[in-house]
Amino acid sequence: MTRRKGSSRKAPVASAASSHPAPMARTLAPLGALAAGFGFASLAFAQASTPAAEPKAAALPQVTVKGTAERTGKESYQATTTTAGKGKQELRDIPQSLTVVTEKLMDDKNYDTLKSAMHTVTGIAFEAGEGGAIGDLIRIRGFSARGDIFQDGMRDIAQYNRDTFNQDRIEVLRGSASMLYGRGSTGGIINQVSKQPFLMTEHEVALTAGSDDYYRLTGDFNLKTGEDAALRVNVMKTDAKSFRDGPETDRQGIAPTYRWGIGTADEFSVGFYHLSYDDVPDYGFGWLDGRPVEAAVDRWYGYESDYQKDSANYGFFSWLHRFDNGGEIRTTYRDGRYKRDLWATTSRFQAVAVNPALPLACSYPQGTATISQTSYSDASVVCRGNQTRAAKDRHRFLQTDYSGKANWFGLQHNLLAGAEYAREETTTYTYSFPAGNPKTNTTWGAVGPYAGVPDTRVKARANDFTSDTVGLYAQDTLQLAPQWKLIGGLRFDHFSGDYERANGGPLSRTDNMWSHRIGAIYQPDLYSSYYVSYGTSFNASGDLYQFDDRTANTAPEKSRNFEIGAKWDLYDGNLSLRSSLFRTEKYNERNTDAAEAGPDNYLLNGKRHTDGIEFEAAGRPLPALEIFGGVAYMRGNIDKAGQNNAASVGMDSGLTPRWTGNVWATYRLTPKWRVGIGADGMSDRKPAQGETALNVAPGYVKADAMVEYVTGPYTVKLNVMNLTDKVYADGIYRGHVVPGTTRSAQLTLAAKF
Amino acid sequence: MLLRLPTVLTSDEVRHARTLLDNAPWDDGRVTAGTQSAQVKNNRQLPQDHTITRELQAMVLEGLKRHKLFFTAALPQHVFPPLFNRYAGEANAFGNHIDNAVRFIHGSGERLRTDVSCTLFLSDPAEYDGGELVIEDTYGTQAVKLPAGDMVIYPSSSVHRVEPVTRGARLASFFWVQSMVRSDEQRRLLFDLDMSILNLREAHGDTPAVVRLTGTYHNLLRMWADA
Repeated sequence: MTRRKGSSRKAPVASAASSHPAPMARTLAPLGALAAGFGFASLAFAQASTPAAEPKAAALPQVTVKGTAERTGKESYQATTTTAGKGKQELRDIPQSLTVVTEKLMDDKNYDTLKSAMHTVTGIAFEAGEGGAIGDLIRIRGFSARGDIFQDGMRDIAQYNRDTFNQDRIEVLRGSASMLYGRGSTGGIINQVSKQPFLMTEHEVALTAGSDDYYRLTGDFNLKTGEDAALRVNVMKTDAKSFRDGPETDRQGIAPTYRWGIGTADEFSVGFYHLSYDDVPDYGFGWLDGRPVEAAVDRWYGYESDYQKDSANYGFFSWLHRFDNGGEIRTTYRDGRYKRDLWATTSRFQAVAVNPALPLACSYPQGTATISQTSYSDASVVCRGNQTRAAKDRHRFLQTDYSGKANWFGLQHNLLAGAEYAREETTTYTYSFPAGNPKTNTTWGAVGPYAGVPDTRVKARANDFTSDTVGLYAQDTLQLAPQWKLIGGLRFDHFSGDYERANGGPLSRTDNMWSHRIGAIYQPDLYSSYYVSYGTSFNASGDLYQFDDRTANTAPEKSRNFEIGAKWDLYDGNLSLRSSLFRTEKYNERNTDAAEAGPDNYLLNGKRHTDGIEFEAAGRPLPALEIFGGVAYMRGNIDKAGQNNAASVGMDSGLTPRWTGNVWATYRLTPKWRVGIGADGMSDRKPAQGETALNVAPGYVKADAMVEYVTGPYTVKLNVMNLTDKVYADGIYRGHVVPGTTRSAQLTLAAKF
Repeated sequence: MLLRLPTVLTSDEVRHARTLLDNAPWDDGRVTAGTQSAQVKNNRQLPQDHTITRELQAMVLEGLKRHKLFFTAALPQHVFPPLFNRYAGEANAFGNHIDNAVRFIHGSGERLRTDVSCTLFLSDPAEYDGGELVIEDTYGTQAVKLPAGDMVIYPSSSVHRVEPVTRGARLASFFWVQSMVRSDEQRRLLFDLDMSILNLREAHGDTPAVVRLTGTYHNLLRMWADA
């Protein structure tokens, strides 16, 4: 959906400083500054007779004029502050790569899911569902971020397909970040930031209709209810079919949040989030001859009875206390319940059984296909398989984070400290077919739709997993010299997991882990910042509810990240540029290595790394031009593997495309007309843990465009996605490929009142 | 017009200033006061020609140079070399007063009309109790206590005082600006117009109407300014 860039939101100034309205965050220079400032050298300050304070006749330096009000993601592609590093910080003070996808960018590009929004972030690739996982399966720098998705700085790791209707912005912090976030985060973390109630009454409703029966209605209602209190309610309903004939999405969400004490010493927030959907999921089509089958882009062999029904419901209460000296402490409790239930169909060409004792092979990797990319015909047999998953989660978090300043021993310290308690409970279920599988094979020529088949499956409880995490962390950014900052941080996590299994006895494991981060930042002036940093992370066995007899005896995996980078603000701070050079390394990866490991534990004998370089730009170099873009070059490599995977050593890591890039630019032609164009893509990549196989998804570039007309409170916007109708692999798995959206158009009508 | 200007000095600069001020030779504040103010002034001040003062003056001027809101709000013609004061212990307050209308710049004999008064805070509010700058503005009485590095500007014609500091020390820089636009009301109108144009430019780009408003701004400035 589209939104006109709203008027800036005002938050009251915390101090009693001003009776005049506080100037808001600005990206353009005020006129008076130009009038007075550019003649500065000749104006000159009145001077004492001593030459020491003689003004330099230098050009007026460029700065961002920063006001005291909050800047929301609705206003700009460029973000200047972030909460990705916990506490509120300027981007330039974070010694790691960070991309912020703002609500404005999401709106302009009609990004309605987290996954679609991630297409505008470099270094990211997508896995297709299977192997026990569903939902948003995102890889950062080649490392799985399945357990590294956060909502407002708290873990959001239930498996579901996230929608963007209540997100103000999405932040991607790359590199190891266990010091801040605890377990996980080898390649980085994704932090979604919720829309916040603000002190103005303002509502927006948007309706989008598009090809493939796409309909989406969103409402964003903000009501000022008192001097320092407001209620914001975001609602969403999406009902759409797919460019592939069969898959569908039907989802709805509501997120009311009430916030009071806004801008005062004690601010509170209470709210609820609900998202549920009933989809017909898309499990793509199998590989053939090491490539995706292009013609499968509009053929789907699933049944109408296929479904993915997931829901996320959580409530939260948050208290923010502001100290007089600018310090803040935020404490949040969140209690969430999540459900997932899946019955999907996988489809691929029939393969020859390698083992004659097995039936004709329909499942990877028992054989090779009987046909090739050039020889398949309408008569070729398409095998259909079942994907079934079901689980229920309850996740409770109590987290408190402090950020503030101190002066100790004559040096200035920026402190960050916090504590986290988490209890995560998961029950998984299995499905079996006592009456036989109703899904049967078909042929390539017999394209659907396929009427639904009766669900004869029997659901049984499989495992109960409970984990408790206690984490404590502290970080100090020390102002060592006027232009130098040193960062040091340490976190301790106590992670303990208990597993009750339907088959096999109970399992448990406890790990106590330290994570750290050190770095140095050099800021020679207000417009540039250079850094070097080192951070570690760990993945405890069972952190994603996957214990078995051996993982329960295996210590956590460890990772580290080395990075040097630079951040610059140009054009009066209107344009932010950044670049970084990094190495992310997992140096004791778990291996299921029958040859070397004992029967009761895994070996931590794997090692892999990703080296890369990234560039990114966001902002407004001209008043009418707004841009967002980035490019990354990565080399993922498997350095060591156990005997079973020895052939993968020296190979590129899966889901680590060497090139990823995106660019998007909008130009305001007249006050009412705005146009936008851009492209994104990545080079070829293999599926994860499929490095030794032949399967490669080719690289692609796809282009999008937008035109918008604004009149008064109304906006009409047309988006065309995938202008050239490029067929490309979006999510890939060892067994199959899910194609990306073909050319489509969406028309949005939005009103603000 | 009373306005808060955030981050005139960066945290690095504040830290550096504090290091210098910790070793500074503080004088009695009455040295720069007029005869009426001197009766209510009870604080400490840095000698105007000390090397530390000069280094800090240069730093504050640099900070002002960068600060676009300062320019647009104050429209400065001349800036008095910043002074530095300290409220702590026995010397802890400055009663109600109005700043002298005309000041002679130390050592040069030049004159400056005080249109805008500036207080740049160098101590964080948590470091001391009391010490509020209380200003009787056209909109009522305002108590101001800002984080280190932030500055408040207000018309020099207002009556103001500094409340007694009962714990810790309050360090600040203070100085005056002779504005190109002498009238506070006119400066305020120009500031509001400027901010509104900025808002329109951000929302709609440089539309013909915005260009005309920009022209209006400059024509008003031409009418009112003594450049």
